[in-house]
Amino acid sequence: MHMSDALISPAVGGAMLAVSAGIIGYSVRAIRKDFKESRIPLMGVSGAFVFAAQMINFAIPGTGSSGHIAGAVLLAALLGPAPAFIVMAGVLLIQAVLFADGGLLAYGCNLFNMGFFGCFLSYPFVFHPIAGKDGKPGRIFTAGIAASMAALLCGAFAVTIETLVSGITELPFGVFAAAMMPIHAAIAIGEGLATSFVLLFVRKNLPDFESVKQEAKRFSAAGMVWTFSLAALVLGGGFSLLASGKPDGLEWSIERTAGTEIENGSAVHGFFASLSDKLALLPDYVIPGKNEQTGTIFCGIAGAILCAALICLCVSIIRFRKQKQEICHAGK
Amino acid sequence: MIDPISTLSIHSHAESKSSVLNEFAPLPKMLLTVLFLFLTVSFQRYDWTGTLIFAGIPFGLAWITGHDAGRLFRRTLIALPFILCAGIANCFFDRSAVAMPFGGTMPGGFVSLFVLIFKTLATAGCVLLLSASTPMNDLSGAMASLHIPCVLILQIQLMFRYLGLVMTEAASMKTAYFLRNPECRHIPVQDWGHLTGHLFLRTVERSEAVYRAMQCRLFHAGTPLPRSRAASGPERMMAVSTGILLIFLRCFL
Amino acid sequence: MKVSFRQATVERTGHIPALNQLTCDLEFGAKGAIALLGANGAGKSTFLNAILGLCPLKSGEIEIDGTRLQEIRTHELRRRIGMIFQNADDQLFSQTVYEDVAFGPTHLQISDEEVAERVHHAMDVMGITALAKRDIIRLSGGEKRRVSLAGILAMQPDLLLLDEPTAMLDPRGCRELSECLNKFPAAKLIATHDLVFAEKLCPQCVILKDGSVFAEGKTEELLKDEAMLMECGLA
Repeated sequence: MHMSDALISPAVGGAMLAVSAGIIGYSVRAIRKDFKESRIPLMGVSGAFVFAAQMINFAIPGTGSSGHIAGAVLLAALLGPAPAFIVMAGVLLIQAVLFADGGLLAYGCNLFNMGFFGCFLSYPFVFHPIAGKDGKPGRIFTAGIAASMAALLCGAFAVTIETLVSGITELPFGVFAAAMMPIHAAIAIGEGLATSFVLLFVRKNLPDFESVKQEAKRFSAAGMVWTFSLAALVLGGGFSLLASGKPDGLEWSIERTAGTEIENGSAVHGFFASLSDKLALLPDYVIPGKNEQTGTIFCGIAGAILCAALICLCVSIIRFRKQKQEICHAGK
Repeated sequence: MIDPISTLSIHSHAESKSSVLNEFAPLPKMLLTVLFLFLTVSFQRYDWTGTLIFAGIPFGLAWITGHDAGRLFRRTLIALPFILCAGIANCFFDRSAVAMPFGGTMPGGFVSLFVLIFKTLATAGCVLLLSASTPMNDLSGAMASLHIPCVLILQIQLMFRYLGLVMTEAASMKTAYFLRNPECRHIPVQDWGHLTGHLFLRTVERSEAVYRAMQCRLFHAGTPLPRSRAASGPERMMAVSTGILLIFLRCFL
Repeated sequence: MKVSFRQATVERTGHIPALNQLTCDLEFGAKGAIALLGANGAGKSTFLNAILGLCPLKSGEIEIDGTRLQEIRTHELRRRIGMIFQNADDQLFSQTVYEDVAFGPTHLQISDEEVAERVHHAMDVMGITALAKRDIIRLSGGEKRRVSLAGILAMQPDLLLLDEPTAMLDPRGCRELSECLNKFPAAKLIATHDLVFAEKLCPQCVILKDGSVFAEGKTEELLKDEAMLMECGLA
């Protein structure tokens, strides 16, 4: 999922650097509030561990990106959301500077895509409610897979939008998203299993695990709405507006892919277009006709809200089932 | 797949060399790198001449300052496969005709593919040259000078140190596993869970020992990190003039 | 320098006592050396870690020159007392030998010139000047041990704690180490179960068993008592 510098425009890179710097600032303040020196080596080694895990790369054809374990959910479960985000920031910076895996200018994009969703969205609002306090293996497994799925799909969606807004690839939005989402869904299952295995093992064998883990917090529904709103606005609205001022932004991309190429009627394009029609998440918004900018903004926000709604639905179902079980137990 | 051990050894080998680039103050070097990245990605999708010239700059600089330009180029290729995927997709979808300076036209998709490749060579080459000519401590010092939060820099330093631990532990666990399973060629999926868990716990244990050793030598997470060496007058002049030269070059290409 | 333990108890994870109501007084001369002997699990490493405040006491007290450990500033304590870890790889974390030896002095708030001077002197004493630019990962076991010693020597401590210094060293490495330690200008507390090494370097010794002091006295005399050594797992 690492994006390189060549895949983004300076405007997108700069905007995302600013957004990620803001989240780093927030995380640093949160860490300072509850600073424990004993947590420092664990943060470092968890980062090194995730770094090593991220080396297992799967190329995603036609997207210009690679798929691999992100590790943000695991880090958040071990360290808490804010320290986990800082660790992700460190991992991605080392990869960018020392290994050219992800660009320096694209650092903001990569950190947002791989860190923000896992640490501040997926862990508190998906993993935490499902896993619960008792940490039963079945619940940890479900929580790990659901949280990884949410984090990676949101991240993959963000990659799609950032690349398209930068005007680098000419793949239509639907085809691009349809290529990204299933692959990342498959990776998410692997990541979820790995996350659950490590968490269960650590819980069992590291007796003072609870002392290094951030105190379990109650994550409110209002907080959830705010976090999703931020993600939706940055990804959907912000970028689309940003692109609308650039002549070579998403407008160009959609015009070429949706208009000219269909008229050309080539076999390759015909195949991708039909694939897009069948698999695209929001095809109507990608081919907006005359008003491309409005459609693009709407498409971005709608996509993010759809992700949020799906996750909310999953969490609500699980909570409902849990409450039902509790009532049944109480009845007995 | 990246092999961090070999990459780290390349990195450290470059550090021990003495060259103009290695001696240059880290902070202006880092700022010039960021400027170069911004200028490179600002080229439009059909600006193949500009990106070609910019792609040559890191490798030319490496060659002039005595670094192994060939090795730098090979390491840059790591980033290329994924870029090629995006670029090849352009070949199918972008068939507009782009005028070439020697006459005639080329399909836009092909031109944009080459531009993407040149941009990748320029950006990845430049960042790798920075890391090859600047030790980790100097990079951390430069980041501290830029007021990047101390806790983030500390994490980067620790991670850099702990990476070796993870790799060493993983290698010894793998060897031990295969020695007891001589017939086994791959570790079965059902063993991955507890092996990964063990690896994590072993590295946590060792990382705590390393941290204790650091504490014994007066390290404390709260201490402000040392800043990088301040740039001298001539170095500042050199950095400013290089920056202006790059901007001019970008404007005229 | 005098180190005193008063009814000190330290627990490992799972509430297993590593030090159990331990009481003893260790008095070091300027370059004096005391051996801390005991079988595996006797509590030697915990004893050393406790002196540096690296593991919390459950009860009891530790005093350094009559001052309670809690009353000494951590920075001052770790400047005065250096420690060599059992696994040299845990101790060496920088890129090159020079950087690693300089790690401690750079945290002493002294000038860059003095840091360089201390580093060069320490490397010279330990005979590793030629390795200054060598990567840490390319050192042999004996070289790593000498680099660890140089790193501590550069901090000019009053007392040096060594945790199983001969572990993972061949006979030649052990010989070189004892030569280096003889040159080290500080008092030494050496935790080991290498009786020959202890007898060679330390006139005094303390024997631990199950987290308590089992015997203390002259090394030469104690090591002649076969029955006692058998009882505490050293023979």
